[in-house]
Amino acid sequence: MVNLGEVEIRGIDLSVQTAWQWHSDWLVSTRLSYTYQKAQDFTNPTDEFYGGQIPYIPWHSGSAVINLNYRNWEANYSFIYTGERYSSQANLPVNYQLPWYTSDFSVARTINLFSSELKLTLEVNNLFNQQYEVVICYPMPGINFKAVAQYIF
Amino acid sequence: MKKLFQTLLAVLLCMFHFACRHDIPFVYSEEEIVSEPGTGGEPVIPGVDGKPTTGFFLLNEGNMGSNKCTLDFFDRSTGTYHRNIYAERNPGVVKELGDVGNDIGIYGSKLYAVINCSHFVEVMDVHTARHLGSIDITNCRYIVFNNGKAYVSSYAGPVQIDPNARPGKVVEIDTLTLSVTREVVVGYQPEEMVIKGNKLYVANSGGYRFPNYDRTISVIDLENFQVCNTIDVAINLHRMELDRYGRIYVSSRGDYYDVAADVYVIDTNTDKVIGNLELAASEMYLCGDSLYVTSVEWSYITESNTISYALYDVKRQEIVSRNFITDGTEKEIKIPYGIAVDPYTREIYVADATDYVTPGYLYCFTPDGKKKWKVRTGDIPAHFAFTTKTFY
Repeated sequence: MVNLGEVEIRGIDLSVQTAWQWHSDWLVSTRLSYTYQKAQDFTNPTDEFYGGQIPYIPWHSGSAVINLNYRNWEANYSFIYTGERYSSQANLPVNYQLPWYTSDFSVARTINLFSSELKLTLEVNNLFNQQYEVVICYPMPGINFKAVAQYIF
Repeated sequence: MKKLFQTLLAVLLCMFHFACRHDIPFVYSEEEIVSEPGTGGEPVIPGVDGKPTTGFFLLNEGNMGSNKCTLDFFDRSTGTYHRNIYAERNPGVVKELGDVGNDIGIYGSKLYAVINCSHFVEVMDVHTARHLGSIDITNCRYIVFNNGKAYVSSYAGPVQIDPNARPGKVVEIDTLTLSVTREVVVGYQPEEMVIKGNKLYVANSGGYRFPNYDRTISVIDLENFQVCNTIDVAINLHRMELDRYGRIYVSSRGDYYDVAADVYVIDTNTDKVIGNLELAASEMYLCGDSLYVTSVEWSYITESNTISYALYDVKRQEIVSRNFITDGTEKEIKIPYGIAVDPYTREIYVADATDYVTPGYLYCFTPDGKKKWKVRTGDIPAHFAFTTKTFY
């Protein structure tokens, strides 16, 4: 990693959150967010790469989460998107990083146990098995599964 | 409810379409015309090789862990600099050249690139830079050639500082079959080598065993491939140059605290240390009787680098100049990381690594030290191999 002397970041953060209640049993809540960032390195005006987008900051990124609740059941789908980036402030084709996006899906059931709650969740992450790296040369997991038991007391 | 699900589904489908992921874009080589087409010249040492240089390959190391070792080629006949030629000429090679290119050499019609942190030596056709084969050698460092064989120094262990790191080795490779024929254990973390007659000299740095650096040069008899002598010189030995009077110049990097860097001289007739130059050196290049030296000497005491340039005459045995760049261009160069001198034209090439994480620059100087041209390279330009063959 490298420390940069002076940078300027301009952008927009947007997010929308909604919830719908249908009868008394169904609850759908969603959250959408989007960020635009123009993050530039202004350390050295004589540098050939002055003004380049700083390493690993995407111009566009966002996420979408949908949550569905029915009595003791819960289903969740979340989508994360990171747009194209460069791994160096030298924004050259050799440093270009493809956009990546993952879909995670989970189903959970809450059970009342001894006057407290036990929540069992089954997750499928990176549903479409996308091969990606957040930092170059460190591959991220492909499709993976998790079973979670959570007891709150 | 139905309308709600329909809307959500529509949003999702839109997102998938919008976020379409293409294939990884192909990285093409780039060409820049940097000078007039060049003609031959007079060889500095008459009779050596007999053919003028047609250009050189420049190996860019790439920051460790980034897999960004790249290969450039300067074609002197057209005055064109070709940047990043390996991927384009070898589209079938997975992960291209690899991580950290540490040395490059030409022998016969093959081009050898030692890829240190990918643990192999890449062998290419010197006319086209197309992959011919590779030889797996753990933590390989430098390469020299003699009599149909290539010799590669290897730290023989994982890439990490370790006070109990094991000794390194020199590996002998047959250049026709590209297979390992013999190996010999030498000192700790061996670096550059030179060959005189039937003896191979290797500088042992002991760099992983900080602060207990190695201090020796191991001398290997090429007949039986055993260590026949060990010469005690100074700590943290690195580079070696052999002059035509049988003297080896070996650089010691010091300990980055109180022990300064210096260059020691060994007489190969007696295998004894005969003196030192009182010059710090990170890079040395011998052309004829002139030893060009650049130094980036780090000190933990001042927490800064001291950059210097020098020119030493091996025949007169004296420092001729403290700056072979004569027009002030050295003020532009941030970190001189590689140096080479064309054995035919005596043009001086200095590679600038800048900040190690963005592309570096290559400067070409006339023999009397005036800047001719400058071109952007890959990350951490460092190692040169002059070729006399045509490149196409």
